[in-house]
Amino acid sequence: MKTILNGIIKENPVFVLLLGLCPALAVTTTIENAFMMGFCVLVVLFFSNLIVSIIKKLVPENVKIPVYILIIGTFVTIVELLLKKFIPGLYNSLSIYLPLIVVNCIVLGRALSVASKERVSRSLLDAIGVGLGYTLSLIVIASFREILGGGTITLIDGLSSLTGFKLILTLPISNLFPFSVLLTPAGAFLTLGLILGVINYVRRDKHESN
Amino acid sequence: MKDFHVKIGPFKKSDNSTRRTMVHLLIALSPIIVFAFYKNGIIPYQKGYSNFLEMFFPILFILLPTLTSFITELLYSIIFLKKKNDALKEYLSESFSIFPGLFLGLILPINTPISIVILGAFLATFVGKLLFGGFGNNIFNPALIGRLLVVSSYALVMSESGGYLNAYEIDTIASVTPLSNAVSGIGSYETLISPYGSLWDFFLGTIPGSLGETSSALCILGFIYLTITKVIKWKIPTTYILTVFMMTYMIGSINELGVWYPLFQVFSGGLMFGAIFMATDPVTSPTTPIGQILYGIGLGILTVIFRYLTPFPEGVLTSILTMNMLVFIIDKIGAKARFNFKQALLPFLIMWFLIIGIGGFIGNHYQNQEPNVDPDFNIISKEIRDNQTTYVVTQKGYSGILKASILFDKGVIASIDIISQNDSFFQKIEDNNYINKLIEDAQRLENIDAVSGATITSNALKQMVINTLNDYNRDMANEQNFSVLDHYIEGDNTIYEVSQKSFQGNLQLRIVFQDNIISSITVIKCEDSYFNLIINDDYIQKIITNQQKLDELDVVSGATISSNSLKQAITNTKKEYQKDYAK
Amino acid sequence: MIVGKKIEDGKELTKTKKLGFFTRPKYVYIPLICQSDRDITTIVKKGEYVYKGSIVGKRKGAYRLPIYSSVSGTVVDFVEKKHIDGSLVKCVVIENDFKEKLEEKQAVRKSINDYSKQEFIKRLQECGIVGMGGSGFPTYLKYNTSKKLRTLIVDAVECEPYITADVSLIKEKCEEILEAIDAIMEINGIKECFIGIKKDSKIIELLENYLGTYPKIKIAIVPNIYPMGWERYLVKYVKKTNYKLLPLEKGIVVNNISTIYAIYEALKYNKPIIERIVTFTGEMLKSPQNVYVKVGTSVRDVIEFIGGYKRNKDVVIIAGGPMMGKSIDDDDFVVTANLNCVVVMKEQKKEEVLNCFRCGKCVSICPSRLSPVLIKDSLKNIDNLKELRPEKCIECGLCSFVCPSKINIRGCVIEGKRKVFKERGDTK
Repeated sequence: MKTILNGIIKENPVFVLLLGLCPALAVTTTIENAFMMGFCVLVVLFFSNLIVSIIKKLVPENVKIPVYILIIGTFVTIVELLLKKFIPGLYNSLSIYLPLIVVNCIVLGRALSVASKERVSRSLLDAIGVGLGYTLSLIVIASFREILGGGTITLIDGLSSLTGFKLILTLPISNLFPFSVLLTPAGAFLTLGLILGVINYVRRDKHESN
Repeated sequence: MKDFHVKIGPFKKSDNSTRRTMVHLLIALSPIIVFAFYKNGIIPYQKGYSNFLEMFFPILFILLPTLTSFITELLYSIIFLKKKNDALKEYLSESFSIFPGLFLGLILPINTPISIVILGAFLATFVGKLLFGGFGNNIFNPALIGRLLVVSSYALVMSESGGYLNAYEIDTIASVTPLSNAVSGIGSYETLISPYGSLWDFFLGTIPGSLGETSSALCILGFIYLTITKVIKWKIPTTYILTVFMMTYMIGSINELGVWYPLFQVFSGGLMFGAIFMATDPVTSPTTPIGQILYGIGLGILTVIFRYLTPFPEGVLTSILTMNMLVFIIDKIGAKARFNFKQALLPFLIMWFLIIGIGGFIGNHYQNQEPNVDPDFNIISKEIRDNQTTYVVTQKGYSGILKASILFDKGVIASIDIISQNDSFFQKIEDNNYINKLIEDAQRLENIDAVSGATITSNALKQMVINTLNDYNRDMANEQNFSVLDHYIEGDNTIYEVSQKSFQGNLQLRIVFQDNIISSITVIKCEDSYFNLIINDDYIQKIITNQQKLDELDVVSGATISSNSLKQAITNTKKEYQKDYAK
Repeated sequence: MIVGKKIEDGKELTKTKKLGFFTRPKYVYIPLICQSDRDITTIVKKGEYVYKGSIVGKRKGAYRLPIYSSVSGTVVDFVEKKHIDGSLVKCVVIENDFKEKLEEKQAVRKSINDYSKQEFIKRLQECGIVGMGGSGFPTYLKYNTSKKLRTLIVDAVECEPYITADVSLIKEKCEEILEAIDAIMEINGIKECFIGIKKDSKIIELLENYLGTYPKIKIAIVPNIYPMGWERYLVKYVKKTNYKLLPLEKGIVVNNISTIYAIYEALKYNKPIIERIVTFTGEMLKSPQNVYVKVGTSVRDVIEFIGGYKRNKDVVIIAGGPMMGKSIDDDDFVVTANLNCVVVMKEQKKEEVLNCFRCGKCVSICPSRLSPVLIKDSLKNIDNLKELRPEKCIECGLCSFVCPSKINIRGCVIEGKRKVFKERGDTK
């Protein structure tokens, strides 16, 4: 339990470790994309941590990185093919950021720093924790951007091929309301920066009061 | 005595101070604010377009963002910087806190909803200034950041609220601002300037535009005042405006336009105001004298490039923000140039020659693709809604400009409404029902005779309709709507599978070439309901028969656009074939 | 191009006053320091009797300039006194016997033109002649060259506000100064001489009375802007030329006019610098005036002599002019050969220092063509700092003068200078 909370709060990959920012900025235009991306990263993390932790004693020191990337690449391809077959709408909207999970620093980083050193159960819990942390932070950014910037809340759109229905809430528009610059890449950086600023301010205050 | 205090530095100081600088700036801006109130508040009230309370709207428009940015900075310094009382008062009175809001009020279009203006002022101060570190640390001009964020998010809302024109102007003077009128940049005196008055009007400022930007005369007055009191960096506006003037003079001379043309370019848009008040913002501009000259030249070149080669509005805003990014490097060059003049300048000059060269090359490329545009003809606006396209166009007539609104419905001209004309001979045109003739015989305009006694005017009308039709057809037949899906050889035949955008959706064809001639055309997929007419007309066979003279082939009546798309598809495929197999 | 600023003068406080004399101090404190070098060997011991103009200390290193006593009397002690740069310096305390006894030396020369060049340079070195306009640079070094000297420029500009020491010297000793210039020109083979002086000086009429006898000496009227007395500016304005490091490259020598008078006394009487005129001025002095004092006199004694302070609190005492001088925390500091002015001003209330908003005024006003604001920003980055060349700063203070945010920008440039020198010293 503590490991999982660690992954979400103390070592949150996006807001604390600042890793994996590229998909965090690119796919967070709708909430659905965000949590699906997070979910894919979670799945890949889980399985790659599992395998890496199992074979950690067999891999010599100097070929660690290529071997781990191979393992991660395998799982990413599996996820990609599954998505392409069953949820093609989502596959299209995540487009190039799915294969990019292979080089996402979080996955390789956790494999190198945790899975190759700890036992299997610990690595799995860590994977779940970091994956959940990643998903939650992506959802936070996406909710900001989509609600303020687009005026909609997209919960089920690409997934409609699985569920059979769409769930998109549209919020009332006013003069001010859809602040559409947030949906552009510039707005993504702005949102991320502001959220990071608030989080750092709170952490620094807590630090000082300690 | 033994208790003397030790103090540092020169013991005589000048009486320059930040407060004095702020006061001078405000004094220089006050004639502009007064003029804005007069032009946008008093005149519409006098002419009866607004009531008494609405007369004060411009003042509110300027005051509210100023107040917002002041309050933002106040809250920020209380909450984050934790300043209290005296320190707070001193900090606020000396940190230029009202200026982002003040400038923003002067450059936003007057019909922008007030809530957006307030949000813009908040963003300008917060994102443009405070996030970078407060007064003295920002890289970009805060008012321009605010304007950029507002324009990129709320463009639709702002244009729906009416854009730049106040109530009086919409009714009498024109419907768009001068620079939006000059879409391709080049035009004649009549099309560019006459709709708004004379060049003198441009100079004084009685033309449509945002609150502060119209009056060039008052901006120049403010510039002289600020230079005499040694408050602004005078090298920047002089080099900026001189560069723009010289470059547009060269462009004008190439197109054989007189000296009014560069003056028009200099006085319109936000150039004067932007050069004198926004580009010289002390925090974001270079500090070395040579650096300031380079900055001004760079700004001028970028503005001209943005105005001519790109369709984006707001060339001044973009060029100032771009050069703001480069100020760090320019200052380094300027500091070195103080000791060694030549060594520092060379890289800078090389960079600009390269940029102008590339820009000229790209611009030339685009110019060559566009067919000849009649200089007396100008498209003011083009709105596409479902199957209807509405054009508002102007054409030079016998004496004055003809302005009309032409409605295209489902590919043919549905109506022509004359909005304005200064032509004394127009009565004859109306008597002769000429306009209806133009609508009915739109496919064969050349054959329609002119109205006797009003030859030039009727020819002008005809030309206007022809030019509009050309533009419309060109839109429909855009090469980018064409793509080759597949291309293979089967025995003697060379086969192309292509896709072309048609009236409704895409058209997919398979075209077979045999010995350099098209032998068959098969429709693979068609989403166009009008295509039935084409099939009934056996049009495809006609195309194959007339494939060498496709331009002369008539369209199928009732399905003009679809026929044109089909023809365009064939023409494009032929071009591809030539490219691949030209011997 | 000459850039500078016309600064409000302040000279009317002392310009027209009569010269005061404070030449009989009870004690003098001769500072054992030569051009910031404190490595001096003392030749005298406690209790020894010294004559006026006899050597009390010799410098160990290069450029030997001896240190002289300015009165005759007994050496009573060695104490630390405040120097004009604010630090403490070891001084020889001599109790004055008011007899003004001179050492047995060579007799007075009748004609000062009779020196050969070698003798001239030797005499200048032996008498310890240094630049009296504030620099303290050994004068003999300027003439000790094999290069042909063509022009002599005499600096009578006194561009810093408040100072009127040179003007008052000219009023007293005009003929002698011109004689000295003539001698220098003849000894060194210099063809022409320009006296740089500001337009609104009554001295021009005084000088022109005597110039008939000396056709080679001309007056050059220079504009009344602040660092006009700077060597480089004088050379640029008068001879319309520039040099890289020293005016010697173009065959030009620049000397302050008080130094010329000191050369006269050295050539004629073999007398070292033991007395000089110092301007005591400022709103907080009861009677500001120029005073003829002995080297080694405590400034506190002089101020008491001329009337004292107007009030006892919230005053600042500055050694040097208001632009380039340093404020000292004690009025008990010692007059040296290169102190030309003491200013006592009201203490300004603490001024708020704001953020720099990069107005660029400091850049456009710097006479050495530096960019002070960029130096301030690159203090942490030594490579950028070296490119900006802060070592060319002449510490004139104009950048701090014009700054609207009242930032101590001159201090930042001096800090940059220090860092560059330290780095150069480290890499050597």
